[in-house]
Amino acid sequence: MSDRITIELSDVSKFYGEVLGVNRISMSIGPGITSLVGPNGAGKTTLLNLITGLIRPTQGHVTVDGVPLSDVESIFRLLGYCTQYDAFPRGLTGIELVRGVLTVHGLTIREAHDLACEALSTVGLLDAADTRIAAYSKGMRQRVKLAQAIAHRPRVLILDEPLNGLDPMARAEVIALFRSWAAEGRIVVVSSHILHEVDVISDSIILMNHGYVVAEGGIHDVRQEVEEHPYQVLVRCDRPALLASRVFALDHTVEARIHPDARGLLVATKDPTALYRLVNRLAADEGLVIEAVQPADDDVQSLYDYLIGDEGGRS
Amino acid sequence: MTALPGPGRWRLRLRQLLAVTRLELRRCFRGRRLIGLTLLNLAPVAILLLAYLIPEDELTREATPAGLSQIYAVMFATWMLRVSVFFTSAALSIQLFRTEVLEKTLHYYLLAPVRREVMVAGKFLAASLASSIICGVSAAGAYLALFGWLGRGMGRFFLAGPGSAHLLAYLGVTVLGCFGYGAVFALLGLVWRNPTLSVLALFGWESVLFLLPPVLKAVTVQFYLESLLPHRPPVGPLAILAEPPPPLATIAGMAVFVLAVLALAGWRARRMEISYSTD
Ligand SMILES: Nc1ncnc2c1ncn2[C@@H]1O[C@H](COP(=O)(O)OP(=O)(O)OP(=O)(O)O)[C@@H](O)[C@H]1O
Ligand SMILES: [Mg+2]
Repeated sequence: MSDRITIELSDVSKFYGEVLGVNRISMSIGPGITSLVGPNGAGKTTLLNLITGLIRPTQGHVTVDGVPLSDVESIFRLLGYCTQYDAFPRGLTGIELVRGVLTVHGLTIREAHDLACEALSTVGLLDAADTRIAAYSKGMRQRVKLAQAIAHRPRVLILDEPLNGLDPMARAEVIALFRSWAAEGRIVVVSSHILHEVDVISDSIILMNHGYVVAEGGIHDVRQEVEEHPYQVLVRCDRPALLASRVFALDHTVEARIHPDARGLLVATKDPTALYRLVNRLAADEGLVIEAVQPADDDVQSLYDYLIGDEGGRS
Repeated sequence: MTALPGPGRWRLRLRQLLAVTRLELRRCFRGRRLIGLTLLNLAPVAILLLAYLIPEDELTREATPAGLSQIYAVMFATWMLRVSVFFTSAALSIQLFRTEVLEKTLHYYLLAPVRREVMVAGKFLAASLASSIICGVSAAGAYLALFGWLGRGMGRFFLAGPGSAHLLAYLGVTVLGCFGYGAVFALLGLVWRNPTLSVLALFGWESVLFLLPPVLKAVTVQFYLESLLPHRPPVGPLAILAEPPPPLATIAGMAVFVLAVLALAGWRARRMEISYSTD
């Protein structure tokens, strides 16, 4: 066991029959917080399931701390995984779930109980420990899954959309936990489909789309890339010239071109919201007839558009 | 930082086996399935108890240990083994992982540092123990209810007569049946997708036992179980008789069979992946 633990993926692909899960991913993930960001279906869960051995790669291989995933008795001592699946064995209370899994690790019931209490209190769920999970709120279920993932004090924590369903207060608390774990030298991998949610806390970011890693690196590199990338929007309307004259008055417009068929304007802007607002105003005040407003960008741009949107959930 | 003992020790694996068994036992005794199984297993006891409501008649007055033993032998072979033990094992063992795949909770096991073989063995052990308990209570209850007809003679039958020894033998066969059928169903669940169909097919197969030529009888569970009973149930005129192996060989053979099925199931479990239907 080395001091600095890493997850290594070499040329990993996963196909579900014909459907691509992830394609040819090679990377090394070290201690600290790494965020995996991408829209629905990007392949985040697939990648995390591959890292935790819940599915096997069609090609390539994965090791954690140099140990292959087939060595389950060693690997799952190192690894804790909070999955995206909102499912629990029927009829159990929070403590029963966490304690039960710990006894399967080989701990005595006493030891398991102590560790389970510790984990539940870490996530602020000790008061509800004896309540049935079926009666938990979404946020509590999210937290009991976290407790279950951390209870055996793993050095590698894989968390699939852990902030989902948490209110802002709980988010801040959980994010503080991620930071403290990272500060202890653990690997913390967090997935999200909202870049804003994780960018400030991440030491490193992996952007995924359609099964591919689109951008990877320190937050500054990735963020710069994201911010400098203008959106292209095609506005189909009856008076593109009028729209063009107004569009150039906007701060963030990079470029505006009248469409060859003269029935639309292609705008590159860093602030699409302002553009949409302008278009609406023109339609209302000056009777501009709008046929369609559509993103005209390539894949990466629409990905960015999606990711840095506040809601993150437009598509 | 990791809070757990090092891997690879047999004592650790034994503890894990017991932990899985404990968790799975709780699962077996939970849920709607249990209601059906309870009814199935209580039926013979209830019927025997109802008979007490009928005013004393010829049957009860002339009840003798030998006569009642015959009745119990037939009841045990035709109902307990062929129906109760059979369907209880089917319900609990047919697909050891089915509930968890349906409920999307399998990953809690797959993410624990436990050998998949240990997990499979724990699940099998729990299912077989649970059906042993359910069917054992039923067999014993029916036995006591039936021999209660002896009235004051019951004490003598159990203390001085063969009563206790026979009851133990029936319970032993019940447990063997639960483990044996448990293994058969676990195997069927592995090789055959449709659980209902395989249960019914096996039920048909085992039901025509008495008609089977001796060679084929060797591939029914019932044949071996009946050979261990204190009283062999009477056979019909169509039956083709076969000489059963000695009891010890039967028990050893069953143990080997159970281990073989477990080895296969363990091997399959190592290759198991999560594929909950996409949400
Ligand atoms: N079990 C499966 N069988 C078939 N296809 C699958 C399966 N799991 C995932 N996929 C497909 O693989 C691709 C990646 O899915 P994945 O669940 O990894 O995405 P994701 O980034 O986690 O999305 P989300 O944000 O919705 O959780 C999708 O096209 C999905 O339809
Ligand atoms: Mg996902």
